[in-house]
Amino acid sequence: MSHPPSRSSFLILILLLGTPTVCQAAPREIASPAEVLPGSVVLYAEVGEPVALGETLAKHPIVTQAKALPAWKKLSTSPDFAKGMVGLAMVEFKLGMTWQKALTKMTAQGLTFAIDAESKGAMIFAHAQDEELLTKIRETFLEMARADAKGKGKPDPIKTVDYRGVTVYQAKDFGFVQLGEWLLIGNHGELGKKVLDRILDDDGDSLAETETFQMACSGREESPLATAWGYLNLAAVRRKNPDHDIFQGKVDDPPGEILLGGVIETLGKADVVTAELYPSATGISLDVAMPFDPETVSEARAHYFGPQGQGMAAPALAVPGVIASVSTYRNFSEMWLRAGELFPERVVDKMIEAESNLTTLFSGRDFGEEVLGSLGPQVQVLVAQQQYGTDGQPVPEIKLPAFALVFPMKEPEQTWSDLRRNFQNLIGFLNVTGAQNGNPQLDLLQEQTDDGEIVSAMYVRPTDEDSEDPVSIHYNFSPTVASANGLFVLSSTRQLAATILSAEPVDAAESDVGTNTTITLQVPQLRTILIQNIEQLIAQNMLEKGHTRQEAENEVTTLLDLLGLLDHGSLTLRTTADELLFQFGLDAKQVEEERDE
Amino acid sequence: MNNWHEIDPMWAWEPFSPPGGKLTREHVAHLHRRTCLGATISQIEMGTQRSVTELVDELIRPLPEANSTDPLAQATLATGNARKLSAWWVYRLLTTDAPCREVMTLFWHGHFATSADKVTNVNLMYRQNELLREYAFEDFGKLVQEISHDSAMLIYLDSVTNRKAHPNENYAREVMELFCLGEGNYTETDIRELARCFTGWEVRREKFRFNRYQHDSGEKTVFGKTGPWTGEQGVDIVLEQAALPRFLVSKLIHYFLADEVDIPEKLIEPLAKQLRDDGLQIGPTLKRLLSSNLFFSKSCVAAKVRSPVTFAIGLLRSLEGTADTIALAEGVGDLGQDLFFPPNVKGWDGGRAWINSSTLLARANLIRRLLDHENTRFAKGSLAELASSLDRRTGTDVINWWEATLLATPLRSDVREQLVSTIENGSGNRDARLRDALHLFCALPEYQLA
Repeated sequence: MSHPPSRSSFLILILLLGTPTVCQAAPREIASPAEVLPGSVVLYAEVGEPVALGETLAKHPIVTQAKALPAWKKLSTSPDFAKGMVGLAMVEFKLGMTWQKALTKMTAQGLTFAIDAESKGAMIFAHAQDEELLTKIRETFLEMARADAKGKGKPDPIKTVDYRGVTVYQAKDFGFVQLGEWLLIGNHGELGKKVLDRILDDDGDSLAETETFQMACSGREESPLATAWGYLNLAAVRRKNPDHDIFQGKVDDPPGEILLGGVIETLGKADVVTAELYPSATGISLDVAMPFDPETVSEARAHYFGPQGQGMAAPALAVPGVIASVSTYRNFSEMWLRAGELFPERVVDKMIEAESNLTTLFSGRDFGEEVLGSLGPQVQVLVAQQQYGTDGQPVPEIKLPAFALVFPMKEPEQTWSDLRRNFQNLIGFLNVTGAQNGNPQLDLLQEQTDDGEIVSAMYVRPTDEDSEDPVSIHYNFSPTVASANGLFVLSSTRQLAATILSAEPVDAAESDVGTNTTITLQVPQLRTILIQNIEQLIAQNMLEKGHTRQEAENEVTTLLDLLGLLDHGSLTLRTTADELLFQFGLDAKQVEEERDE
Repeated sequence: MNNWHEIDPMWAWEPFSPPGGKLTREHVAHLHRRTCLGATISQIEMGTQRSVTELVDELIRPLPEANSTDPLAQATLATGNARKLSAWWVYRLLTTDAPCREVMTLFWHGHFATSADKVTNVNLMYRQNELLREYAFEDFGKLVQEISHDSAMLIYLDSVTNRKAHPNENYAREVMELFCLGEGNYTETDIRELARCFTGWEVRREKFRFNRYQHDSGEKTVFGKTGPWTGEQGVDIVLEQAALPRFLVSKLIHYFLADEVDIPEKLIEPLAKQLRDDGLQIGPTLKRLLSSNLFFSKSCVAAKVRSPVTFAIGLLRSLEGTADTIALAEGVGDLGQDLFFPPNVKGWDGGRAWINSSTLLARANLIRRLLDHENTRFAKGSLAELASSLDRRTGTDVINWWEATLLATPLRSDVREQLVSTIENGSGNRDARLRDALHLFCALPEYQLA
């Protein structure tokens, strides 16, 4: 979006500063950075209460627990860290306060960041507690930077110039000014000049006056303290990059379309994107919103949002041991049939070729219309831990999680009968090709349960049980199809399929209205599976990084320790009558609280 | 290159006595380059304090009694990916404390060439590799018997289809031509008859199995000996042939001493006799070869082209380097030495075949990628940090260090000046300048020779 700032930009500023025709005026009070930033600013982010945000982050359980990790302790006792701390201590001595306190006071009334599309420059506004303190911090910084340069025999790194009565300090890659309680830091002379001119003259378009910014602000909710708010002028970005793939509305492949097709289309129409960050004592959440009109969703993207944008995900199934789950509204059949409108020609050609093969596999039934068409659009994907050794099968060296796809069937009886037969054909085919490649064979099992019917295929136990060779990765799988309550389950293991069939159905009333997609991740379960494969992680680390075993163990352990701090993450995509909303959340494990208890 | 026909065999295989009674850094570096893929400057310095015999005995030492399972190998095998196995071997070549055994394993991998392309089962490839490592310096006769039963070899050379009614001659031919005797030392009849001995040798569930129903139990005549020979007896008859030790000694000389030289019989004969007298034990003959006058003579120094393995892994070992071994194995493969994937049953041709206009460019590019890779470290740090720790402050200090560890021949003065200038006046920080200079260094013709 923005380009790196030109190093020559400050030369431009110097030239401009030297222009004699510019008249001097007294700087006016800055009410809000948006009022002095030019209308061409495309990205604007502000933290209203940085002090509270800083304190929340500093005391956050993730940070607290991270500091207790061996890796952090090792880092904090390293020579480089100690060197840094000595430098920091000198700063603190000069300021007469800790660096955290200085930073807090420097930004006590707010912190704002902006990127300008025209100049491609960036600017930070720090609103300090009071002018006197900010002056002290500024002078200390200047004094130390100059003393350091002098000690190294280098020229003054900070030049001082006057621009219409305002003192501007210029370093190699940035410049700054102090205006009362405000500190303005920028990396582009043109942008700096525009801002100062607006402050001095109150002239020209400001960001606050633009329609898109006002629209974004109007939707801004009353946020709790310590919330960051951001705005992106998507219309301006689109005007600057009209040919960018993201604004063309097309996705290169079906997986991309399934994940992001509807979002890409919305990005191509929305004028503004806003984001709000909510750190809390237990985690952090981020909401990203953009305008959305269900009436304008193209027919091609009905597979994503449903007719009139009303497609909703089913309530997630409550399956024990789940690592990750996705519940979404996606009409695969419609997407497949509209491939010509959604994908480039080469992808469509491959889909036609695949359809021909799949039609054979599905006994002559048309794959897009009849096979996918027999399934409903409320799709669920589940990834869960496996229990090894319970079914008499050998325990594989590499342990993979089980995964399953769950679809509602439009005509359960007929569809289940067809898919069960197709599955049996497939297992027969896999046994023939497996025999040719020396892979273990599959035994087909069919069983009725209280909840439905399961057809599974188990790998035959190896004949040489005493072999010292690692047990094959094949034993992670027992391909299964199952049916119950109108649902069709395609699972990598029989165990997961059976669990899904017996999972308590969640009351539809609990489903969130307007939820198109919900993705959840249970970090402790993910960590468990990584621990089960720790030898693989260590080996991969050794081979990829050339580490010794000890080094690899340290890195892997640190990764696992960090994951151990987290509890779960989620991502939800919702639609309303006028908004498309992403909600991202990450929660920490409550170790400290448990200890306190 | 010197004329080897003028070399006195008595002198050639006499133990080397260095002038002045002490080995120089050049002698020690030469020995390590040929047998260990290189040595660090401190290993070279320490080597000068020892005798040739001590150094060679240290290199060719028996396997430790308790050879514990390698967890890295087990984790790699679990992936079922032969490319990962290749990376595992590169890791081992980089980090082993018995590098000579690895170099010898690499020799046998080229000698008994078997490719994972055809075998497809990584467990079998690994088992064969371990077999080659176990017998690296040991009884060649036992090694041939073992390799004849090796599942990977049986699959690779189609022994699994060797039936009584239709004997497959592939394995019998290669045992004579490539493994034991060399061309011209057998007849087509010997091949046909030996192939009959191997009938019924199969692989079932990844293991050797003798199928007596498919074995031709009739009489066969191999090298004039007639009897109802089994495969093992057929191999024994081949092992008895007089051409065998001469063939092996010739291959060892080409591998360790000099590429592509015409070795006169008079030079081969003394070592061939020793090999036969030692019951085909490889170790003693190899020790004599590596501690000989000829090995340390001008006829052998810089008389070999670096293989891709010695080119890249040798550089890292000499500079205490570690790297992304998956990328390195791929890079070495791109240069023509794809570990576990030899090009054909003859293995790698070696010598000048390693070098052509495209591989020379590819060699330089590999070094650049290696030096720029975030996971390449030298003594766990940057190249500049390693140079500082070794007190190599100036450009000249650095070039002297690299010359002593990496080159078999002295640098030309104009080249030296250019390299020193790159270090002292090049662009970027000191580490970037050192990496630029090392890249140039490894692209030199001198560095292509071992």
